[in-house]
Amino acid sequence: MNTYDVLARAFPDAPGDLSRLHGRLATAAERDGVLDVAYRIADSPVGPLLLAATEQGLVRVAYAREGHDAVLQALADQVSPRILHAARPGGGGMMLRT
Amino acid sequence: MTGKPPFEAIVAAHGRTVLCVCRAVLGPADADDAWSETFLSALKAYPALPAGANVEAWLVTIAHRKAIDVTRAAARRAIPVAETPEDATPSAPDADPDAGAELARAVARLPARQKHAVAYHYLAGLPYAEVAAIIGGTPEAARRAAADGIASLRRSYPGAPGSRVLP
Repeated sequence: MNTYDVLARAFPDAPGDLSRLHGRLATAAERDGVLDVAYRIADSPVGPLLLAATEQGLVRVAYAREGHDAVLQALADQVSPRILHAARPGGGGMMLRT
Repeated sequence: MTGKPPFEAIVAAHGRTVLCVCRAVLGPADADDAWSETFLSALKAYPALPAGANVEAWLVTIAHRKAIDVTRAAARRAIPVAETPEDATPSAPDADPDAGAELARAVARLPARQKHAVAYHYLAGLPYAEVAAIIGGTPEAARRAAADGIASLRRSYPGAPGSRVLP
C-alpha cells in the first residue's frame, strides 16, 4: 500500500457524496447562468435517450447507438464545453421534460 | 470547435480527488462548500483554459484559493475566549476509533504549509513544481514541506506507528 492509499483512506467519501455535490453544482451553475448545456438520460421504448438543452431549448436528442459520449463531445465542440448532467434541469428556459 | 471534453467529464475524472484534497486541507465541515465553489469557479473559467493545461493542477489551485477564503472567513467569525482547551483539534468525546479518522485528525494538526504540500503532492499527485506554484516557494521547499509533514504524521499518528502505515 502506498502513501496515497493510506492518506486517501483517511478522507473517504460516503456513498452518494459526490452525487449530492454534483447536484448542488448543477443547481448553482444554472442559477449563475454558466451552465450552457444541461443533459439527462431518459428511458424510452427505444432505449435510453440523451436529451440536451440550452437556455433556448432542446438542442439534441440522441439514441444510445450514436454513442452518448461522442454526442456530448460534439456538443462541447459545437455549442459549449460547459456541459453538465442535470437530473432535474429547471429554471430559465433549460427545461427537460420527458 | 473547442476540442475540450464536456465539463461533466472533468467532474467525473477529478471530483473525488478534489473532494479528498478539500477534506484534507479544511476538514469535513467546510470541504463540501469548498468543493462546490471550486467546480463552479472552474466551470465559469473552463472555456478559457488553455489546451493541454494540467487540469488537476488547475483544479487544485482553485481549491487552494477557496480553502484560503474559507479559512480567513472562519478566522473572522472566531470569537475570542478566555481559555483554550488543551487540545484544540476537533475530536468528539466518543472519537471514532477508525484508524482513518485518527489519521485525518493527525493531518488536521499539521502546520498549514505541510498540510497543503502533503495534500497536493500525495493526494492530488501533483509534482513538486506544481505544488510550489500553488503554495509558493521553490519545488525543493515544497518537497521538504511534504517530507516534514509525512515524517510528522509517522510520529504522531497513534494508531499506526512507523513506516508500516505511511510508506
